[in-house]
Amino acid sequence: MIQTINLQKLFATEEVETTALNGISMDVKDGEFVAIMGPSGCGKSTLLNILGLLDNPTDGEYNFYGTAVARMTERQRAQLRKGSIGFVFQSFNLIDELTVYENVELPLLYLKTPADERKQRVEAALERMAIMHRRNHFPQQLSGGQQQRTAIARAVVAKPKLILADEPTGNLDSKNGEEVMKLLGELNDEGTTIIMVTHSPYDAGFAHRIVNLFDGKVVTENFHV
Amino acid sequence: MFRNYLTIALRTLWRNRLFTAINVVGLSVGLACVVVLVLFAQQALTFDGFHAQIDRIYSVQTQSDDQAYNQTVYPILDQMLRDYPEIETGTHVQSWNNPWIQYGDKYIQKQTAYVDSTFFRIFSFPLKYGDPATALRQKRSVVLSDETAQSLFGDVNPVGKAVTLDDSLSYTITGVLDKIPSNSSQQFEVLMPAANLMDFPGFSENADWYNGFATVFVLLRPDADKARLEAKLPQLVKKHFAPEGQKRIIRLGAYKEFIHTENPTFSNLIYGAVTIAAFLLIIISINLINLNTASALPRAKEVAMRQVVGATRQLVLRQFWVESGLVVLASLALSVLFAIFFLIPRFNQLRDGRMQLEIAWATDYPTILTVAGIAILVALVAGTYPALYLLGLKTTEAVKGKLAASPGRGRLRQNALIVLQFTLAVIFILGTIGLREQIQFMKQADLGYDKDKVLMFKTDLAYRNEAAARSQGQAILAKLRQNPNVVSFTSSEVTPVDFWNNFNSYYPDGDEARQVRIRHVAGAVGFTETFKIPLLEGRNFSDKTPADSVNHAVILNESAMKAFGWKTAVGKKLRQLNNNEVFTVVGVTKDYHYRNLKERVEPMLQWYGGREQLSSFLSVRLADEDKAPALIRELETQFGKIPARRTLSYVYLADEIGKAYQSIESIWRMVSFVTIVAILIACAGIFGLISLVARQRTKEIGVRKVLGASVVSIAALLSSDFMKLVALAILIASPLGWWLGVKLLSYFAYHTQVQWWYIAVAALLAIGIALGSVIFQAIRAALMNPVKAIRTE
Repeated sequence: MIQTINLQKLFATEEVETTALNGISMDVKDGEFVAIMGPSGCGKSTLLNILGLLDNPTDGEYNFYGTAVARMTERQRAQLRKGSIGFVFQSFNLIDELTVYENVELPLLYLKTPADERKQRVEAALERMAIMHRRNHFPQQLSGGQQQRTAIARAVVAKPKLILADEPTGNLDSKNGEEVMKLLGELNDEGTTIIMVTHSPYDAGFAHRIVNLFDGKVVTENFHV
Repeated sequence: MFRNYLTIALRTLWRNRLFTAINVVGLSVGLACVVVLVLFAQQALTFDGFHAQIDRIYSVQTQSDDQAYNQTVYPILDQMLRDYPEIETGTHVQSWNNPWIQYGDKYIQKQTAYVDSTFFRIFSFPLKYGDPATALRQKRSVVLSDETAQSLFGDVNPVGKAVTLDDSLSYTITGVLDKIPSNSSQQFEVLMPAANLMDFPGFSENADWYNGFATVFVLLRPDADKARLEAKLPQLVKKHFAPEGQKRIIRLGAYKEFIHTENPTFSNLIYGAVTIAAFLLIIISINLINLNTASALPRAKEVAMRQVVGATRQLVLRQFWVESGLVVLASLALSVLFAIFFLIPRFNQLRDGRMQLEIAWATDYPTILTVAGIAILVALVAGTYPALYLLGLKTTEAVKGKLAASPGRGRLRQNALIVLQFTLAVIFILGTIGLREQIQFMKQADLGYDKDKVLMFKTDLAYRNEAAARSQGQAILAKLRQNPNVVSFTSSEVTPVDFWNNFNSYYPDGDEARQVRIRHVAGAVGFTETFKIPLLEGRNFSDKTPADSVNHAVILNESAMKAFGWKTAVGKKLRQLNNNEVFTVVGVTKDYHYRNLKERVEPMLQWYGGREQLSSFLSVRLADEDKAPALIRELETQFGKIPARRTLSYVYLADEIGKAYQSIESIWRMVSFVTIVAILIACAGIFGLISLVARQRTKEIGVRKVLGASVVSIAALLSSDFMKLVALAILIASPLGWWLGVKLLSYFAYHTQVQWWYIAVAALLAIGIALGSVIFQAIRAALMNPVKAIRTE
């Protein structure tokens, strides 16, 4: 499980200091599906980056599956991140120079997974996301929905405990958005913990719990039954 | 409008100041080298071109086998002037001895040429003081170079002043020359009327219709037909030449070609300079195009926006031209400064007095304008290319910043250019290594004699009293024989470092058909012993055998023996074409290198130079080199007692041999310098490119890091693309460089072989240097915070 205590994040430029996170304490249990909502600039993405070990908080504690990570170096975080967290972005962030297959394979390459196992797992993930027929295409040759399915395949291929999704349907039409949300729901049903930032109340409906942020603070928490 | 362009251009250049700096530095250093090389080539191509009548000036040449040389017999000029009205006039330009000139307490000896009074009617050497028409008319007149006049008289006009020559005769200064251009074949400090030559017994005896040592020039009339004149020359040979010289072929060589006859490798130097300049220009242009295009990529949005708000293609193009024009003009200005204050002084130092370069706007403006023109052309191309590329993008997409949609565009061209750049760089490196190895090879080669532990004293000291000096010298030599540190010594006119170019035809007594043209020099007692030259048979000259002078003893080298078709030669008799003496072979040496290793060892004969006495050189083989200082001091003291105009100097034989390769070493230094420049420019290019690639691939790097890529793997990813290109360049350059290396080395008569390790070293160097210039940027990109990267959309 993951737990944060009083997370603070300040962004300082030469002239102004912005408080992005102002004392966030939250727990996420294993297998939970949490949606984080709030207006633009409330600190949703900043929180997600810290939860995803991409960034350190300025202050506060962060316990990631039993490890205190708040003051780890980038190197240590990268080590911990590898294979345990999958990311899904609004703008997909696929690598344009690589094919669908190669994009999905990438996390396994960095985990040094043996070749035959890699092939098997990539193909399984592509099959699962119904994108197998596009395996040799480049990202620009795909529709938005296909690109996001590829990104999800990439996020799950290493079988992470946690998936972080930043507005996963933000660049998709409603039909493709619905499909992506169903996929995330299925993954959660199979036991993967999911934390998702979203603007969409509809998407948030897929979560067990909604955390509302405003000016860097948790204002309300709603539980679905 | 132009001001607007300028402002934006300056701002853009400042924003991309790293690239601007790389561009300007690379360009200016490269262009400076090009400027120097082009100036050099231009000077070489216009060699002797300052003579107004050069098209009518011809050198009287003797044809021998397949080559002509610029010497003939002395009396031919007067005869030609008498016989052929198509010759307007002519002159001898003879070097014989350099007299000592005395004025007050000043004593100097300078390179002297003996010429006829018509000299200034033929050649356009301008006079600072004096009248060219009359300066050389009187026998007792002297014309001095400006420098020599300054050293004797200071800053006054010396015309009319009297000087004393060789302590005896009074001469009048009749003229002072202006500076002789450095690209003149004829270089001299003192001119004297040729009439003086006949006063030298050694000269008048030899100035006959057989000995071909005279340098003669003729000026043809404007309407004269050179070919028809040349056709008449065989008759002249038949009528006047000595019987032994009847087979000679006399030709007229255009003065324009004079330098090429004197120095057959001169044109190689020009081709070399032009080739290197062209290579450098290619490397520079590639850099400019690559860097400009790459640094223009992030400006796709800007260009698109300009079009959206109404800019035409023309206007966008002009903007880019102004930018690259600024870079090129700044570089050109810097390069001229760099050339004048850094490169040219160094270049001249390396050339060691031969063909010095100077930039003078009045004479060199065509060269400078040509280089400027080329530079501006390069600027236009380098400005047009990126502009057209950006204009070709879809405006609607570019406005959204969707440049990444075409990652492959321009990549192939860029890669091809990098490969070409590095191919040239590797070839440069190979050339440098090859030349260096050849110099080492020549310096360390087995010369056929032992160059170590030999001290050479220059004993030609211009003694005031020759006869007295001779007897004092005899005493010095006798004492030297007693010195326990002296293994052996020889007092000789030549040393194996550089035998004279003196040839004559010999034939076995009774077999006149078997003539061989052979180099001949004076031999000396102790010569083979002192230099440890192995004898195949017979012995060296000896004073103990009076027969050597009576029998006209000679020693051959192995090649000469073979040239006569002999397997053994001792006791055999030889004759010279033009006299009645019979020479007896007393010894045969193994072939040894009596000149530098650029030349092949050819048949050579040494005649007996007479009983041991002071000569030009005193070479001493030491038992113990550490005790040399004592011997040097002793000889300095003893020679100091003989009244002379010069003081004793010495040099170790091994060092003197090294000096023979100074000019080739200076060429090597220049090639190394250009190689370094070429490599630096190529490296600056890929350094700039990888910075841009890292910027372009920011998002990819970020995503990879989020997915778990390590710093090392990302740095490797970014550099590997470049390293692959360098590897390809090495693959292309290796066989090419090998082939060029073999060609280059074959220019030396005795040469080393191209070794596989040349290529290994060049490859490692290229890889190391390329890696060095990309790794820094690659690591920096890899260390970037991935959160920032994935936000870059």
